[in-house]
Amino acid sequence: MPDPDSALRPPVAPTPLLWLGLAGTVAADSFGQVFWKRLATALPDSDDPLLLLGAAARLPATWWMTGLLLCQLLLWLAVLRRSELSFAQPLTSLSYVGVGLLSWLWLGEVLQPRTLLSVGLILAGVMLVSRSAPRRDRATAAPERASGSP
Amino acid sequence: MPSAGVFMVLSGAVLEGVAQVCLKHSAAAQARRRGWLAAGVLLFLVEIALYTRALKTLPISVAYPVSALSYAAVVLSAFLLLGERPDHRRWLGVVLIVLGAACAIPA
Repeated sequence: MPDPDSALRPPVAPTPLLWLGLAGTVAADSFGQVFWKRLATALPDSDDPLLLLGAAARLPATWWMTGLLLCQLLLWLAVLRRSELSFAQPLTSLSYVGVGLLSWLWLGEVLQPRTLLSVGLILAGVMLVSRSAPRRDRATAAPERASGSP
Repeated sequence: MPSAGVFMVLSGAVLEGVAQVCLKHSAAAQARRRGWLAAGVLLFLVEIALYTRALKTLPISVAYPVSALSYAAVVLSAFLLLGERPDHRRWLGVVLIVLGAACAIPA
């Protein structure tokens, strides 16, 4: 009889493909965030939402950002099919490192030491917040069946 | 004194916390499900608008770490509005995120 919950408990050991998917998720998110910054700085100074939406639609940065964040979503769904959420979710916080690096390399932003400290604290905090309770191993589950009674 | 951009990102983080509570209500509610969903989506859209506005003047190396406060806001909102009981590990995570976001804010 197939285990109905087996789809929710994918293999625990990460494969190279899974690492690639996670790296892609982090990269897509990081680049998407930087394009969001480029979009924001290119928008005109206006409080008219229709004007802003129209301007955004004409900017290449908007489409790059949208495409990358969609890629991130698709990669994330693929990762979740092959990984436990409590393993994968904390690793996505590496996008804070990715955004920091890209802001320095691509946008020329200056990274202060306090920014690096900030990223470290947030990484640790997100990992603690994101971790769920570990799932029970099948060998230790339902110990009451060991007695052999029906 | 934090800039207007930082306040926008902070406000957006708070809105996300409330938005997630609305989405949770939408998923769990028997009645007014669409109302909760609409409220959640609207709050997310306001958050996106605030964050985009903040990015106009704020470096992303500041804005993105500060936006991590949304993780803390979700935990707090769930505690205050949904009666969830986060364990000590989650509370420690919230403290670290708040400290990290505070470090990112320019003096």
